[in-house]
Amino acid sequence: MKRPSIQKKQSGRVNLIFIASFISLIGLWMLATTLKWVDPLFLPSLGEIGHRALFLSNEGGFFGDIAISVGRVMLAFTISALIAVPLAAFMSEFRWLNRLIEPYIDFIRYLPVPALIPLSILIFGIGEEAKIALLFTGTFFQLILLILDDLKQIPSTYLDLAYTLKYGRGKLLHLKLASIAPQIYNNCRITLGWCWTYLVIAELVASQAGIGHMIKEAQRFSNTADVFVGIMVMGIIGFASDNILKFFYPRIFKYQ
Amino acid sequence: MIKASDISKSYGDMKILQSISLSVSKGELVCILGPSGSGKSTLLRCLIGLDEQFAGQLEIDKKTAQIYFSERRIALVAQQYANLHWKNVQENIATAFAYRKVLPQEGRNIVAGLLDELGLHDKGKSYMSQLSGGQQQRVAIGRALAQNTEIIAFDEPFGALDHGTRESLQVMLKRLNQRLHKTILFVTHDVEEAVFLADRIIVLTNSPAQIADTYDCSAFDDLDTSIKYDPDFIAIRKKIQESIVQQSKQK
Repeated sequence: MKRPSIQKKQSGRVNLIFIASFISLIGLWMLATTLKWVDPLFLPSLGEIGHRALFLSNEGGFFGDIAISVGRVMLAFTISALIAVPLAAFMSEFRWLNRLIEPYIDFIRYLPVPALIPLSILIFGIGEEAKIALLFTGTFFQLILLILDDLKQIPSTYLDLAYTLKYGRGKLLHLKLASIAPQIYNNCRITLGWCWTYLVIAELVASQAGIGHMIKEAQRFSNTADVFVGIMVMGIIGFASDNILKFFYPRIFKYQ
Repeated sequence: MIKASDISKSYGDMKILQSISLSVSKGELVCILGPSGSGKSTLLRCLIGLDEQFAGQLEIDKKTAQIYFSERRIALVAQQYANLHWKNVQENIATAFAYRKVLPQEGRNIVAGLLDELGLHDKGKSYMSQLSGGQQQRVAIGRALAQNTEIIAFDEPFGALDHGTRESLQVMLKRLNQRLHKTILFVTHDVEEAVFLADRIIVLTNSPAQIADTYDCSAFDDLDTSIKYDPDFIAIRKKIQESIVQQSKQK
């Protein structure tokens, strides 16, 4: 057996294994739909999906749905990050604050987001607030915990250095956040993905627009091709946003 | 400059330091040696204010430790390169100006002078990931010097470096200090390094640490490393090594 090693992504190299598997998958899909191995109600043909995608983007106001969903995710995620990062920093600095808040975080993060739908409707009604609140709940409590964990990993030598340089609380907080900035960035990237996974759930709440709403409506009328279009678009947006963030990582954190 | 009396320190039931009394004069370079796990670093942390949970009295510059540390600090160069990895070399050295306020132009001049002195003049814009271990430790020394404290503490600063780098940094530190006359506390496990650098060496016993022996090494003030082959140098080195081996055997 060869010496075990950690696999690193090699940039610039074409992923032939993926391309081969993707072509095989498409081939299998075409075969299954052409030879009617599967009922079109469950698996529409790629042509049908393409046709519906074109129709939706030309006439169905699909771009509006995409924009609304992207806006919801971005707004909820930004609010989560803007609260989670400073709050985690303060919690790492003030023990009493940590003792006060951490048990609530540990409790809430285990609650499934769908279980909170009735409560969010009761509190926020059926408007945008309920959807943002659900996306926020699904993201914030996971993100703050990840950042708290990163803050616990700060080398003690940095804390010694802060003492010997007579840092005040403000400078110490800045030092802590700067030292874990790459981890915060990566955790934001991961939780942004989680935020997308809660989108359909959030858009089940009396929604009139959004990709989740479109999928729900398509399912109501057994329009499976539209369901596939919605799912694929969500996957593509998530994949693209993740890769954009990955692209900027080495450009922002040049020192690594 | 530093006067410690009856310093004792325990972690729970485990006694680490037992009634250690020592004094360090202004401008003196004192090395603390001892068996592994004897409490050298713990003693250093107590002496420089990083650990306040100990019994005994500590006076620095004729003030109680509490008063001294409410006003000032002791710069530290640790074994783990405590440089800020998101800042370049210049910025790392300039972090010292959080402690010691200087005008921007004066700060730039101090950093430029230190970069020259530390042999890092072409590395000012480099990040820590682009430097060798020896270069990173030079940055840490640069920051400690830029801080301009009366006392500098070193906690096994060259422990992770190869022999050649270690020796060149020893010479650099000795040369710098012959000019700057800082009071230095230097923890190391390398006897040769201690004899080469120190004015005085304190050898600790096995844990709980007490002072076993003290050696005057002020005669070896030569910057040339060939002094390490001097019969007197070798004799005192052997004597200290034997003392440490003896302490290691005692439980």
